[in-house]
Amino acid sequence: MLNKFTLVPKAPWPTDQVITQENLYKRAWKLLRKDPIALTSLILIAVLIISALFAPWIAPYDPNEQMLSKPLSQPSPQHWLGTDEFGRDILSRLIFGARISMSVALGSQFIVSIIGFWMGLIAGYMGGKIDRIISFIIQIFASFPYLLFAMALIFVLGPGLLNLFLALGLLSWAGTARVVRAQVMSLKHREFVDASWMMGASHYWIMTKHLFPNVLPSLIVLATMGIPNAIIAEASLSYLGLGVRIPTASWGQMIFAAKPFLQTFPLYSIATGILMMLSVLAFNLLGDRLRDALDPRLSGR
Amino acid sequence: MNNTIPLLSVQNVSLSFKQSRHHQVHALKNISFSIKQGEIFGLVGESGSGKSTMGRAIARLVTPQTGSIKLETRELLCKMTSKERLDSSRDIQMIFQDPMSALNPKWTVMQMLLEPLHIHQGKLPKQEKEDTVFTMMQQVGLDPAFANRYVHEFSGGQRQRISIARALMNRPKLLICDESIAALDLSIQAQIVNLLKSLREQFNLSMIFISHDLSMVHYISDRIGVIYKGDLLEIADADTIYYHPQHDYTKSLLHAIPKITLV
Amino acid sequence: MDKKDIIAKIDNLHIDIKTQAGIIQAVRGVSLDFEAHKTIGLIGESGSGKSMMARTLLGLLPAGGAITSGHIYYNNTPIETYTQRQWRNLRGKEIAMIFQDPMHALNPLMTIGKQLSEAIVISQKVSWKLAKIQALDLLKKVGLEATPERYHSYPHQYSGGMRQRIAIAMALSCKPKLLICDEPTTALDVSTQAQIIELIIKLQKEYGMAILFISHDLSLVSQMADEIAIVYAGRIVEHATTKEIFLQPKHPYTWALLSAIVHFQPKNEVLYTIEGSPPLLINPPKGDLFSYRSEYALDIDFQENPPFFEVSPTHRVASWLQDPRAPSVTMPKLLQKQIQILRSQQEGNFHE
Repeated sequence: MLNKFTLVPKAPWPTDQVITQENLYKRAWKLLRKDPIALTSLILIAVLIISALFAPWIAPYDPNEQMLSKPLSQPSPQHWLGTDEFGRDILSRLIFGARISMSVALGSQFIVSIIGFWMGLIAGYMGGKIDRIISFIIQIFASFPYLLFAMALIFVLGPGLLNLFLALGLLSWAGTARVVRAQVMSLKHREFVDASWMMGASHYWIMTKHLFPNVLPSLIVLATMGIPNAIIAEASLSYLGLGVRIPTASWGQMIFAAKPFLQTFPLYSIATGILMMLSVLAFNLLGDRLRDALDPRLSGR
Repeated sequence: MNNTIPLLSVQNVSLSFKQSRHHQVHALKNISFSIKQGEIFGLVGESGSGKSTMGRAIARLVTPQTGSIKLETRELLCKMTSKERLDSSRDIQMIFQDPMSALNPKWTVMQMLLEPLHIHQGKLPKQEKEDTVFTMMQQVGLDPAFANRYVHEFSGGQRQRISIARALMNRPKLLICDESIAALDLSIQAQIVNLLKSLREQFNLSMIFISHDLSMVHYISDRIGVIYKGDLLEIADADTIYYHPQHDYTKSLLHAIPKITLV
Repeated sequence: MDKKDIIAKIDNLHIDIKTQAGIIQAVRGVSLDFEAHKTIGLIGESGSGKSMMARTLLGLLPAGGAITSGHIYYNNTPIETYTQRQWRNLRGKEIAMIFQDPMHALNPLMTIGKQLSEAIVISQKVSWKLAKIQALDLLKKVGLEATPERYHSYPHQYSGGMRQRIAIAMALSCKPKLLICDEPTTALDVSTQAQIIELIIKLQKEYGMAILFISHDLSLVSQMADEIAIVYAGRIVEHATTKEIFLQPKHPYTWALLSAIVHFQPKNEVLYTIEGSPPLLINPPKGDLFSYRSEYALDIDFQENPPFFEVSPTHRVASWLQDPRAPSVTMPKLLQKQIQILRSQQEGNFHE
């Protein structure tokens, strides 16, 4: 029988283990997948983007094809959502309208992110006079009555898709710049920045390789939450006739066009309105969930 | 290998900064000392004494108003072109106190350790750079298998090892340890201090060990400087400071160290 | 034997904490008695469970934390099942705490005088006027001047050491019977640390409360503690008077902690380190968990948790090495030397 009171030679300790936590983005993805609201929003957005990309193959009809024999017809097996005042298939127009909305939203947000990032980064990192100048510029752009100026810009530039990107992008970068500036101002005092500097890194190196990855999660959230505004802005401008040129289908235009028929053919406005509302809602909810998922403080250590 | 020129020569360095509109803080008052090659110099003081500021001044992270800091024969307190800064930055490196903020949370260990090589030895082939990283990881006691992990997956002690590895990648001559063990558990502190001592032998390093923990400073340093409110009050070798202090302040510091009291 | 004035008791306490990674058994069967006028020093590394023990005495377990078995007695009343409402009558009134960061106890937006007075009004139900007088008196007791300027000043105007004094004043404003100090001096300079310790000792003489002093620094705790309890992996491994812990330590973990004191270690040798790290207490294996890191592990250490063996009426050790069937082991040589030095200091009362 083994004597339980024998000394056991000490086994060497296995090398210090490392607790595995994932990459912030992988973890965020896992969290979002589990959240029913985030998942629904993601699916809806995916549907919108796919419709936008593959519109010519998905839409049952050419959105501009006028079938004057049956204007404003009720939903039927041939036209699931009916036809508009020119006999064009509403469903097809909505699908092509998604193209406009998505491209304007994503395109303008991209411009916003780029301008906002660089302005915020340089202001926050350089500090001093440069910061004061840029902050002043940010203030100016932040105080513009957004839509009015978009209207003015379009007047000047003329209607059209690219001008729409520019107008919306140029006017809404201030919020992003402010957030980036604040983050950079606190990050630049972190010791890893000192360490890099001591190593001989240049300012550019520090800004792009160290600060940018730390600011990226915020940029993603800001862009996601800026998209609803862009969608609504595009719709508003198109409603006012300042968006894309007719006859290109656009949700805003369709809402305008549906106005006279609110009583006789409400489905026209309702369908468009609901689709727009769902898109805006989806991006807002996703942005909100993304903010929580990407928050470094919530990621355990 | 015995140079008569000291490795680091600090002369009459003074630094003050504005804390508020009317309040100037004199962080360093006319400080002078030198460090021999291969020596560990302990700089001990309480909070607000200026010890960290001295470290940062040597690291060129803050600029003193007057004085000179020379690394061998090269003056550090002067305007440098970016090329000069690049060259001189190889020689002095620093380990910081907070193992969490000293490393970029979005980078992997491999990226952190490659950075010094990218900046100074960009022309080396990728494989050679990565091999250097693996070797260094082993030398500081980290398993190279974890090179692709993110910094936040490591414990405090392991992160300090990563900081040390990063600092040593380009074989600096002087390593400044600014309260590098204060944020660690006691048993991990001992491991890191043992590591630093052995690395001194392996890499022929000189070190400045900044701390408020007098027992630890006595253990690791060859010579100690005691600093109080910007003044360097006493410099002597470690045993002399610890067992036969001359200055009253040093005596009071030693007296305040908790001694085992068996009543 | 004098009748002991036991203020509070922990009896075979088990605390579990639910986390994402699993259920952590933070405290696994701890028993301690707190007597008036006496200080117990609790020594352990991070993850040992010592903070949980402190928090549970105030009903401040974190979310997901719960007492799974055992009792806490205050004045002979079991309080482990108290609701938050009931805890409010104890917390800050009979049982108080000082934290490592004094700002955990201080409101940065209120003057220190007002905070103190408020605490007094709430705990002792006296008028504001009377409370103000007591507040000024307290300020004096903790070493600040009892002037109107001080009364109307804010915490941020003070250094760490002074803030800790204010926090101590807050804790004592209700004349607690049990004071818990959770690493109160870890963030302070050495000289400030010494002053704060002196202050706490002085106040204990005056107020007579029982003190639980939590720390990782054995030398520091020796200045204040009558008894020292060494905690590892949620259990007490050794508990004795201060003298016995330093001069007759029995548990290998205690030996390791004592060997690690930097002051005694020669410069030309590598610092003593304990290999490995404290275990994560999710589904911990049976037995004495320190055996995985110890040179003195017995076979049975990996199978059964050692019971307490009494070395003296005041000294208990949870180690199978104390069992009569165990082989006799000697502590490391360096530690023996250290103990000799301490003994001769004691006898000769000379400074080293």
